[in-house]
Amino acid sequence: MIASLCGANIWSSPELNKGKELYAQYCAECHGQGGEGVEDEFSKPLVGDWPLQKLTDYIGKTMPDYDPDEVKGKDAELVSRFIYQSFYQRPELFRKESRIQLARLTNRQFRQSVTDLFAQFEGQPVLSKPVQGLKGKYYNAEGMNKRKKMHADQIDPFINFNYGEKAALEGMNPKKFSVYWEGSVLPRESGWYEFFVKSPNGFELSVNRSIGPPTIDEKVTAGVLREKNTKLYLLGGRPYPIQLNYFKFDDPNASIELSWKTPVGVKEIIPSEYLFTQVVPPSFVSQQKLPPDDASHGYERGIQVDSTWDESITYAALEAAKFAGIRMLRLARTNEKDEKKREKIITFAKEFVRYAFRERLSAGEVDHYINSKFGEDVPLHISIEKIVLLTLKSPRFLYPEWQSLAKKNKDPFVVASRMALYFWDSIPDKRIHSLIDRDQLLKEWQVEGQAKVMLKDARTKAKFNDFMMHWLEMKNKELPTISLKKYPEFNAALALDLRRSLLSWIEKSIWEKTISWQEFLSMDQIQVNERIAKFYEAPYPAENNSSGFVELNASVTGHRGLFTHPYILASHSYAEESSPIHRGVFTARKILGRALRPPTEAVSFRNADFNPNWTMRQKVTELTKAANCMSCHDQINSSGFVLENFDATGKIRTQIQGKPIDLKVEYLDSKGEKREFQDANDLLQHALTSSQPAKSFISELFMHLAKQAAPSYDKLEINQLAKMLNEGELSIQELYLKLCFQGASDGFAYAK
Amino acid sequence: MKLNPIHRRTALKQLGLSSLSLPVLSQSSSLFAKDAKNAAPKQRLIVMFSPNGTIPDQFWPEKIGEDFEHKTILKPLEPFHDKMLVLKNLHNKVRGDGDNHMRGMSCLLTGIELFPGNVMGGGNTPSGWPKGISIDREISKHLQSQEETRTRFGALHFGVGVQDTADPWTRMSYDGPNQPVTPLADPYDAYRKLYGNVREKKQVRSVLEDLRGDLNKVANQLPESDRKLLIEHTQLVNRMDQEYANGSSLSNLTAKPPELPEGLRNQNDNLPQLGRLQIDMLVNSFVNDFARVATLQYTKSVGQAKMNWLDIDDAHHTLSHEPDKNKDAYDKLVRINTWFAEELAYLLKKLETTPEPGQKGSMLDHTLVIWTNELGKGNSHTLNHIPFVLAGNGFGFRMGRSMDCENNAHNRFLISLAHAVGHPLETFGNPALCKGGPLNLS
Repeated sequence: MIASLCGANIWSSPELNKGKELYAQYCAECHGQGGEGVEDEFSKPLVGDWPLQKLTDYIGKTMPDYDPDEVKGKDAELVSRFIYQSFYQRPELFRKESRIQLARLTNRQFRQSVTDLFAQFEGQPVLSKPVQGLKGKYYNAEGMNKRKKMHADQIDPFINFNYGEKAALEGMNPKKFSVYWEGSVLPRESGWYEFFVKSPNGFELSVNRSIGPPTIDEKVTAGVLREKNTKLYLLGGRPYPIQLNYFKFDDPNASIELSWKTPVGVKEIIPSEYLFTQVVPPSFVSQQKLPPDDASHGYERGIQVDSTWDESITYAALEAAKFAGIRMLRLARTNEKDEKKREKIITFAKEFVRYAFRERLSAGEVDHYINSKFGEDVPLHISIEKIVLLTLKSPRFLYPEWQSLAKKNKDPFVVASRMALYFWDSIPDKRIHSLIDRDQLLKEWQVEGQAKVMLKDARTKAKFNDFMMHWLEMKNKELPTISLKKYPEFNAALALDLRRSLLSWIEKSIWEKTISWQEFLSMDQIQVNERIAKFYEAPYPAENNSSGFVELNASVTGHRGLFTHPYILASHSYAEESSPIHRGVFTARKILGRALRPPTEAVSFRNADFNPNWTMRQKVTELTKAANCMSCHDQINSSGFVLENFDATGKIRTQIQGKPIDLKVEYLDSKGEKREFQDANDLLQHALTSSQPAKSFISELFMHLAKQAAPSYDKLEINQLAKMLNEGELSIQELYLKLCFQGASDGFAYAK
Repeated sequence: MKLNPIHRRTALKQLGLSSLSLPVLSQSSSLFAKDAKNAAPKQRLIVMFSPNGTIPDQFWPEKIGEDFEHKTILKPLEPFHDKMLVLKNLHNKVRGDGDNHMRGMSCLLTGIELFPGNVMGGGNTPSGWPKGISIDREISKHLQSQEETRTRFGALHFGVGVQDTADPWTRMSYDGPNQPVTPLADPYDAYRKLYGNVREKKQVRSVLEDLRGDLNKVANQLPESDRKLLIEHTQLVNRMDQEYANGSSLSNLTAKPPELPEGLRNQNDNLPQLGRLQIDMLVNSFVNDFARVATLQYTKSVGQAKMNWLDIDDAHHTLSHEPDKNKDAYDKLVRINTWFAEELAYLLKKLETTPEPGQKGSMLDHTLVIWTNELGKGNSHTLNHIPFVLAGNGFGFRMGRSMDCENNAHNRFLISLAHAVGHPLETFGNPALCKGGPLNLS
């Protein structure tokens, strides 16, 4: 393998030959003849981003691990030079498949696609004029019709009212009144949301209902305070209609609260930033639990099928089929009296299958998937149920890359279905189908034009948010738990505020301000609300907007640099102390783009093992001083120690235990150059000027978008994109666009 | 409820327990001798509800006693004459909050007032939920508390055409104060609750052949190296096919689940078929001993079913408001109530022709069916003369007659039901309405 890969020049050098011999003698047993790794020994390929000198030092000190004295000095240099030149820097040699692989839809792709399939007929919910809060219509109640006489209407930013014995508004009958709130709720992330309504009065809550009873039905009451709740799976970045019907009728007291608990969060009154006055159509969202996808390569991908998955998908398909059966008339835009009812329902079925299969259907396929399921004596909704069930279980729906692998010449459907997956994790919509039907997705400018349109869709934002949470290691992670004994004000509510501060800054910066890579890493602004401002001792303007968040210059709180956002720092802390190791790993990987291996031997940090008068820096230095630890910990520790001026909560400190803080670190970059960082800002400056962080960010982003490895694509130019990113020629939004566009059109021959 | 020995004895005497127990016990005396536990005769209760009052002069027999006559509405029940007990002059005397439809419905089985509340009734005071448990749930709780009478569900609540609203007009069973019990209004939901997802499995199996074909076609178009995942997927399909072939995951069913037709929608026009399905499942769930208590609720108080199948296009409740002199409305209401009697007859027939598993006699010999209504008469909204037609020998009452209940409160009847299952309550619902204790139905 080596001979063929590395060329003759290597063998002409006697030094390298000597290195090769040493490698064969001391290393190959565990690392394989060509560095490919050995099962049960060191199974991973011998590749990495250390500079040669570091590799030499490391081998000299620690290898071979059964007797580190065997290879030292000159020998260590020879063998590491051989490793370095032959394969260490060439991970592509070890990639088993460097082409696009067949994969099933991931959970996110499945849910999103099914929801969007129905949205082709129900309408895509879009907030065209986002105004925060819910619209409240206030009625004096008379008789049975609670909404007969409207007293007033107004926008309420959130629902948390205690009217006591009084009426909701001045001038209303305090004994008998009702309020009807409506609008939409826009959750940021996908997951299970628990909704709560608390009141002694009558209420009825509907969230995203199109069929069946209200989500919570508590119209009947004897005036006793009670709280009811319900759980729903919602897709992030998508607005859902919400209605709260509330009425007081002779009860002694009146109050109402509308709260929720988000997937990562604590119960709270639904903040106004998630509520909007505009009413949108409901979406079908599968409530079926799905087993987690494979994430062994750092991104979720559908490379495995098993019976749990098959069964879950089947139940999800049944759920969708049942919905389609009930909602059939609406989906087909017809009614019981319509003479063309049957015809319209068959048309709906054809369209549904076509969108799901991301393809034009042949006459034979129409017969097979649709016509054969309708029969004179079969009720229409039974045919619809069957068609939806078969469609959503079909490989044509579940394996979206199958066409690209089956077709020699990639056609516009391949490009369109990839774009929909990469941008949104979904299916090409009606509009794209109609472009293809009119031959308007054949030329490069046409495809690129569509990519630009798709970039602006709310689903793109939702998917990028999902990536960001993954990249920032926040996805499905609990809120940081800092010791309330030591930091009584750092409670879950503050932690949740910080999470929002970070995510909302990213969302706003990427999509509204179209920031560059440099601006992204630098995070020159920080979003604070009153609670955050108070804790981190930042000024908070008296006037604020309804969400309560304002943007301050990050230097005011001392948190310039994405990695110093208090949420990230607190998430990488122990309950009472900062954790330079956790912070260091995060910063080295994400901000400096370094590849770190997991430790060969897991060592846990126990504070009690150390002299209590030591600083954290001293303790960690002691713990990781062994040479095999230091191979990675030199990078980790330096990236973590430089953040020691932030305490466990991420708040700036100038002293630790009455002593000034030693922040200065030495950092060995991937080219082998030693750098000195005086503080976090120096680290940031280095990250901004080196190419490694951008490259690593781009590959992670691409894997997340495509669920495939970047080297499988010929058109993808990661190095060039990284260069553009570094030089400020691309905003992050444009990067997203280019990645999707280049990846999706890979292998496609444009029409001239 | 605690009873001292004297009270208890008095109560039993009033109830006439000795004679009550006789017909049932004598049937199974041989079994009783062998194994006391198995020999205890099963007792089952079904409450069937239809709304909006009846047409009294086409419903109530004139004669009291064994030779009572069957007028138009009760005509369909004639074959069960000997097993029937028609309770005349029994009134729902619960007053307080809520309109008569609300109290008629929600106090029917609870015998207790509604909480003051916020649901505005027709012209009257508003109300909330009732203040206590309903007799069906009380009896079920009692049976569930003992090992020998405990069943998988205890009680099952079937609905036919019951709307998706939760208010005092739509609920008659309660687990306690402010605790309405929602009936299973969709037979497919009921089916899933009783037998698991048999129907879904059948539905899935019906597409698996197509799916295999599909997987095969797609796999054949792919390069060899990409087929692995699809081959695995096909194996999963085969596996699912085998697993689902077995149908219900429940083992040891005494009787197979009834056949559920595909695609019957839960809507007005299908009420007759939906009702029959629910009855079939109800009886089947008894055969499998899933429960000893069941309710069967047709629509709701103020229910607006349009009985097209009887050539009636008007909504039921609206019709019930018409004055007696409106001949057309009168005739239609008679037809509607007669139809309910026919549905009851179907249920009774089914119970009569089903042997009680492991015990002597038919299931009807072990069951008491009560057909009732929230009002005595629709257009007057009276809570007097509530229709209570009983059938079946399960509770040991003396059947085959009509009986004058002497204008008593229906609470006393509810107490007799509890006593009949060995649960000698002193009062049930509002204690003030329980004076005199259980009615003597023997």
